[in-house]
Amino acid sequence: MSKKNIVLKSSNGIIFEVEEAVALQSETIPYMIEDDCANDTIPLANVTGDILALVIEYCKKHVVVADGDGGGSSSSSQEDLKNWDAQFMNDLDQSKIFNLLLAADFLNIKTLFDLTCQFVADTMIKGKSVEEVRRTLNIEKDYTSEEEAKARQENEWAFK
Amino acid sequence: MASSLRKRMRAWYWIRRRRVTGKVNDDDTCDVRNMIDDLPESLLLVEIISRLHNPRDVIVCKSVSKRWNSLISSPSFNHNPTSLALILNTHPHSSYRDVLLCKKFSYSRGRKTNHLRKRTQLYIVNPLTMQWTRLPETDDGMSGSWPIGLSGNGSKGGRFYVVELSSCTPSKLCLYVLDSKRGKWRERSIEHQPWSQLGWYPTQCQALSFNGALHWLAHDGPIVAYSPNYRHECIIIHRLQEMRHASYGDDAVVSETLTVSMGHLRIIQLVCYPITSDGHHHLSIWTLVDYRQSIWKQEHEATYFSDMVSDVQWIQDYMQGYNLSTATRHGMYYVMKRFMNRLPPPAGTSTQRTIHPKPLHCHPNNPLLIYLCLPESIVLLDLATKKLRLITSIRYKVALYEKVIPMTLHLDPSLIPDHERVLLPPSLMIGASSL
Repeated sequence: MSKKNIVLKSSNGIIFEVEEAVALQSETIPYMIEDDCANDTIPLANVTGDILALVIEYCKKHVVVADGDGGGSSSSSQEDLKNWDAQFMNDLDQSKIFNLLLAADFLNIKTLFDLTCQFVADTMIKGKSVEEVRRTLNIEKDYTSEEEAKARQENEWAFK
Repeated sequence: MASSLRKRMRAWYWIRRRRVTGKVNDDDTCDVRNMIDDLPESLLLVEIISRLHNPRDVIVCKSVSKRWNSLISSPSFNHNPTSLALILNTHPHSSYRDVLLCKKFSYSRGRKTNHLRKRTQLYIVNPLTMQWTRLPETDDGMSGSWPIGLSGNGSKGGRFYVVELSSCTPSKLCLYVLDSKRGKWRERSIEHQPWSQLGWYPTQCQALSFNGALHWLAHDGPIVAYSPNYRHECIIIHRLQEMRHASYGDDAVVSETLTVSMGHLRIIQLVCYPITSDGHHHLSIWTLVDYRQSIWKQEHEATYFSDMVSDVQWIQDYMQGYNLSTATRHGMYYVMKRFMNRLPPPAGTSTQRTIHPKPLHCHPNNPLLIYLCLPESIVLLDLATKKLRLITSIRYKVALYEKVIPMTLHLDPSLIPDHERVLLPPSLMIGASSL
């Protein structure tokens, strides 16, 4: 059984060589192979090298665990994987997170996409006040004070 | 169709993004920018904001910026999380949209007799906004154990009706009705065509609110409904002959529940047989496709317990034959002690102690998802895959099923009238405020 490798090229020209199983967690890459986008290298014009490195790190981790014990992975390894995911996301800064989200969407890697969206929702919005959300996400307030007061009044219960 | 749209959106987005931010993007040093607003709308809204399960967080998002507000307020953003509320301490008894009807019991000793007297107080509560109001007591004190239901007129600052069933004779339905606008209980008795010999009793403690009326499912009988808008009538929807318990055989134990999903009333029936009869235990769902004409339809083939699978070993074992011997490993001590480890069945008899599962509800937006009550736990059955998933386990409670109330959360929560005080009749309220 020979293990086939796939070569991916990031938008800024960095080359990554990964095992097929790792790359095939993306649902976009198979189409690119079929479409014969490239004979050897698959160019990913939308993903920069540092983000692609992260994507590959994630996919490698997840392919190993899926292989681990014939699909029916035990609850402890599931637990490990969850912890690993949490740590993985925690180490990233915001711009990396959003770029990762876009890359996961483009490459169509469902688990990574879900993980990133949920992480953004849970850590940057959930349970926060309006000001905290704005500060966390660098969003400029475009409401006038009156407009803001009115919006709050309508939904007073949410601001207690 | 949705996925092709998404793909197109994505392609469009990438083109735009490259055009707009192409220059900036080559330079990896740009960092503390407003990244989230660079996301295409489909990602920001559908994918991130819809993962916020608490409507409170969504309301906060509305106030973050005008763009977010317009995105969330647009009709395409349909955030309507639906959940089952399980609130054990306050004894919820019924729900209407996002409002719960709860009972609180208090005990007092009579001065002369020294007997313990139990008093029941009713509250309506919106668990999201934390608003509540105590309801007035009935003249003769609420019995506290009769089936009760909450309904309303659907508007936001609305009017609520609480209806308690007080007796059901063969041809008369007796009710106590409270209208929140009047703040007073009234007794109503409604004559109807007799359909039973001895009167009847409802299968559930809670009445189900649907189409402005409250519905009770009579044991092995019809659905009986009362709408506060039609005071002197009740609606009786008979079941099909095939839905009668006797049609499943003499030894069948049928437990059933009335539920609503996708705008239709449905009856979930769990049909169980004694273990020795090599059971054909199964689940059937009957949908009332036409409310006015009482037209029922069996939506799916019966789903046999033996076909159901679960990742949790004891759930699988239990469904295969009520075998709870693997359950001890999952910390289900109470059930074991109480039912399984009691005196063994007398020698020579085949009687076994079994606890049957109970149906709870359909998922309000997906009739293929059924919540079931198993010993000390609630599981979700997906009829498409026949998979059982553990939702929650609660120790020391055997009769969980009476305490699970379906509830929908809304971005515009219902307001509770006269928050933080007793809902009084209008005349008394004027008196109180003039003091």
